[in-house]
Amino acid sequence: MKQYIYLNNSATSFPKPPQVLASVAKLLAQPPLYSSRNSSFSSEQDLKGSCRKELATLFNAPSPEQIAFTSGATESLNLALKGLDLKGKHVLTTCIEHNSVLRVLKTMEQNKLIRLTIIKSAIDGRITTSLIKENLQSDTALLVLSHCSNVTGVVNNLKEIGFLLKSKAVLFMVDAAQSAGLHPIDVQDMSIDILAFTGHKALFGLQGIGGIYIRKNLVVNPLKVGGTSSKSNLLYQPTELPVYYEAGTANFVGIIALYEGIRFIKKIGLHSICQKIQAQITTIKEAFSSYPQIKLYSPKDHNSTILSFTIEGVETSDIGYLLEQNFNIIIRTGLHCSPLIHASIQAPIDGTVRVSPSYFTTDSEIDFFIHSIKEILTLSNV
Amino acid sequence: MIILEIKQVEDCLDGSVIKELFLEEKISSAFIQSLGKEGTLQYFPHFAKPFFKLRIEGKLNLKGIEGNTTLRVRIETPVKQHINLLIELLQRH
Repeated sequence: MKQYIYLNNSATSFPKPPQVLASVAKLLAQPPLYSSRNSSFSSEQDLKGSCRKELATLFNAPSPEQIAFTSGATESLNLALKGLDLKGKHVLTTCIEHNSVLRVLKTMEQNKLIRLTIIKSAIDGRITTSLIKENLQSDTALLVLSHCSNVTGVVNNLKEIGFLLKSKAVLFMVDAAQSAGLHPIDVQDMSIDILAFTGHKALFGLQGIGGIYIRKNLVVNPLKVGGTSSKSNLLYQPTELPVYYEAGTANFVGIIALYEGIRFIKKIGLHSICQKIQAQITTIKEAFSSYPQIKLYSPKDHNSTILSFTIEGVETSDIGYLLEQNFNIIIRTGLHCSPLIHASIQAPIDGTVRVSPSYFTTDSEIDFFIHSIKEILTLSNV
Repeated sequence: MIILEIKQVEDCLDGSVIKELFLEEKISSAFIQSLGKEGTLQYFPHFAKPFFKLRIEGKLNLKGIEGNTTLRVRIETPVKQHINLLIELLQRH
């Protein structure tokens, strides 16, 4: 296997902390006794409970039981959007959303279950409180919003938006796929009713694990029903939380990886991790500022952990191809599964080049990336 | 040139059909120049490993790196017909 410089952490983080790898290897080498069925197992080995506690602390959820495990943010968003009673109501979302939100809502709109408004962002990709206020209707039931854009890296002001929505009795659903593990999230202070997150990005877990926080007393029907290893005599899904949302065998490998990933974040500090990546993005932005043919899709005053750019006269896919084939650098090009933001930020139809470092990215890797882009820039002069 | 394998590539764009071709031999400068006669060739020799693009209008868009054993191709519709054209072209050079 070739050695690559991996700058595609917004898709899936790599590498994982050593603790994550060790815990997964250890778990897979043991018989699967880590469920509550095995009474010989102590409570500290209750993986699900321990991980839930870590997540509740990370998001300041009132109780760990309000957090359920899913296969990732897509399942969490599907669960919430299909489980809420939205029939006949008006739903707001924004152009910065991922297809995991847009496709669910557009399908619900097509099936005449909801009326949908998609708010266009400002040119810098921000969704402001005033934009939301302008689009609220008398029967708006819900706003679905990304905390952090997976294209521009812009972080929306959830506290201000949550405050507005609470005052209007509109539910607030947040897609934290890009922000969980990088930016502070406080579901109580931000008045968040539903938080969807994935484990395989900044939380350093594996693909196939994620979760959802649902505010207490909010009625959300489960997406799936089935075995829960409890109340097995019942022919209907037990309604206790969190098993209500967790039918089927748990992804214990994913859960232990997520648990260790969160513990790693706590050890290093969320702020330190975020600052390190922001500093590397700033280095890239500063280096690119001398080249007028490079267009950045990021507010000038915004410290982000993701950077999208294009080079005038060079196809976006060519940049990705050359970085991979000639420089062994992995980034992502295209629409990034967020098809509507590109018109708002005036990006070309073939999308952007997105670079997303991680805590483990070294400054010399960033320097080599900048050097590689400078070489690729020569294509724009041909 | 013999094609060993053809693999679908995800583009995260507009659903265009993009394939990665795994070739039996390394792509040489002579091969690029010869294949280039089939369409509009752009050749960028200033990279440590020269980059090239070949456009066969309305049919195929190829890109590759000299010295590598892979080619990336965007295939226009009708896809099946143009895949056959691609195979035939590569066999000819």
